[in-house]
Amino acid sequence: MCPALDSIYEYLDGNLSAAERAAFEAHLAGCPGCRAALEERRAIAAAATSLPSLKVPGDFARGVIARLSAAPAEEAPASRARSRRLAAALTAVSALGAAVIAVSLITGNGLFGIFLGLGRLLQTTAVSSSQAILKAAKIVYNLGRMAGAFLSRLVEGFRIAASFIGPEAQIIVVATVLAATLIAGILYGRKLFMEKNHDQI
Amino acid sequence: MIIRRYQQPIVNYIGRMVHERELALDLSQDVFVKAYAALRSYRPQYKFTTWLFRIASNTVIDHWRKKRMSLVSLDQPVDEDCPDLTLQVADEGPSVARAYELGELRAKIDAALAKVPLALRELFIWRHVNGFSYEEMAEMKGLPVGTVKNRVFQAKEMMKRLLGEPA
Repeated sequence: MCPALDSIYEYLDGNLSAAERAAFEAHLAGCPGCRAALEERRAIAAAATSLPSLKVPGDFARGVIARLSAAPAEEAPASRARSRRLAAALTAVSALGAAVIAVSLITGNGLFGIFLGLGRLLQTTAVSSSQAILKAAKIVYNLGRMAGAFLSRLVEGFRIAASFIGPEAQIIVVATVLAATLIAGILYGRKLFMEKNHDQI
Repeated sequence: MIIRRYQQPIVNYIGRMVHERELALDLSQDVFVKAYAALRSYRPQYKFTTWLFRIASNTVIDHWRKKRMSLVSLDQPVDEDCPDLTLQVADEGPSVARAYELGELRAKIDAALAKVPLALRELFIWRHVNGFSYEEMAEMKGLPVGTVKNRVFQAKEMMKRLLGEPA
């Protein structure tokens, strides 16, 4: 009985075991039909494998680079994601600043007082956190102390700066900086949103 | 440079899938743009070639979908019980190999490829034009090696039948 066609293909691919190949070749020797079938498929495979390559124009790679340049948003999705995170961070900082100003206006305390309170809170938290962490890792404790010392210096800087200007002037200066940051964050976020929608078109 | 290294095999594959030179070049350039954008998703444990050809295959699928082609889709399952594979050798038709010279046979194969369903055409091209192994093709299509092999055999039998048909 003649073998199934897949045996011919397995034979041509060289996938038959030595025993299978010997049995197949023994059958071929006595079967002109199978020999013809094998040669037929061998000839088609040889022709298909030697099909000529299609011509690629010399400026093919330049065309790809031009497309990449024309679509920078698609080109660097990672940098776009980083930009989105930056815009979100700017907006968050602005919102925090706005909240500080609101508290200042509501409580009647100068910004210095609020920053001082925040600074002390952060300093206390940093030191107490450091002490707790010291039990687990001395390195983290040292970093906490460094952070605490840094905040102390920061608070001291605020104290000196505040001694030169009154509470109203402090609010105006800080509010101006925060408003500019907030506007920049919103505009940048809007630009990214529009770019994203454009990409989806 | 990656583009120069892989442009020829990608154009050979897409060109024989779509049978239109300008379109093939356009889609091939798309493949490299997409590959660049997706470079972060490439995992070095996979061969770069198979990763790139998977992108190329998806690009061709997207093209057919946009064209709303009524042909058998590239990702549509193919009938595994194709009668061609159970056909016995005694049922052979007229000899194609004896009827044509090699050059003529190549031209006939190019023309016949356009009539082969996309899912089978792709595997035939990968096997014979791009020289991929069954294992590489299985990785590219996410299919078992046995399934890929069966489909390649189906494609070859279909090609033989088409070559035997009068022009």
